[in-house]
Amino acid sequence: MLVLTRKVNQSIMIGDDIEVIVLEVRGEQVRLGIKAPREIAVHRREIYEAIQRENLMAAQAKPEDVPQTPPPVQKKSARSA
Amino acid sequence: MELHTTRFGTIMIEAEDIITFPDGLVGLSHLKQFVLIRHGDESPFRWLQSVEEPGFAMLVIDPWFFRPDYEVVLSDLDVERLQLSEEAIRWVYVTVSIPPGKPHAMTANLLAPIVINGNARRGRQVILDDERYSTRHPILQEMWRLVETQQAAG
Repeated sequence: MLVLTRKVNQSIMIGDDIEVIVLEVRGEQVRLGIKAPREIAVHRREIYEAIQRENLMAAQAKPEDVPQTPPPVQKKSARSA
Repeated sequence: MELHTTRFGTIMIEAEDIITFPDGLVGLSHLKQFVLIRHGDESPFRWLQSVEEPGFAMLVIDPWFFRPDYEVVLSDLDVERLQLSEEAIRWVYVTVSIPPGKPHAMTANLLAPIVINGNARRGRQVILDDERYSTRHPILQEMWRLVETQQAAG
C-alpha cells in the first residue's frame, strides 16, 4: 500500500481524473473531498459492505420462510409492478 | 428457453424476460443477468434469479407495500445506466433478509433499491443518499406503523 502524508487543502491524484482532497482534520475525523468522473461510484466502505452483506443474505432466503399470504394490512397505492 | 435454477428447478423463460444489470449488483458485479420470478400471484415478494448462477436468487419485495412514503431519487448516472426515459416503466424492489428460522424478523434494505427500466429491461442497484433509510428496516414493524397511521387517520 502506498502511504502519503498530506496537509489540509493538499490532494492526491489517482490516474488523470480522480482527485482526493483533504478538506479538514478535526481530532479523529478527516473530511475528504473527492473529484471523480460521474461514472466512478464513490461510497463509504462500510455502506458498500453492508449492502453487499444484505444482498448475500437475501440470496440465502428459503421459499418456505416467505409468508405465502401478505400480512393483513391494507395496501395503498404501490407504484411498482 | 430453459433456465436451470437451484430453488425453482428448470423454468421456461423468454429472451425478453432477461433483465441486464450492466454494473451487476453492489458487491456482486459479476452477476449481470436476472429474471424476476413471482413468489405467488398475490404476493408482494419476488425472486431476482440470476441467469448466470443457478443457485443465486435474491428475495425482494415491493417497498411501497410496507412503506408507502418511500422515495427513490435517482442520480444522473443512475438514469444514464438505466437508459431511463420519462415514459419508461419503472419497477422498484428492495432486498429482503430473513434471519434463519425467524421470518417475523425479516428486514428490507431501503438504502439500496433495485430499479428496473421495464421497457429497456435494464436494472441497477442504486445507493440512495438519504438518512431516512438503512440497510435493515424491520418489515413487520414498518407495517404496524402503517396500520397505526391509517387507524389514526380515521
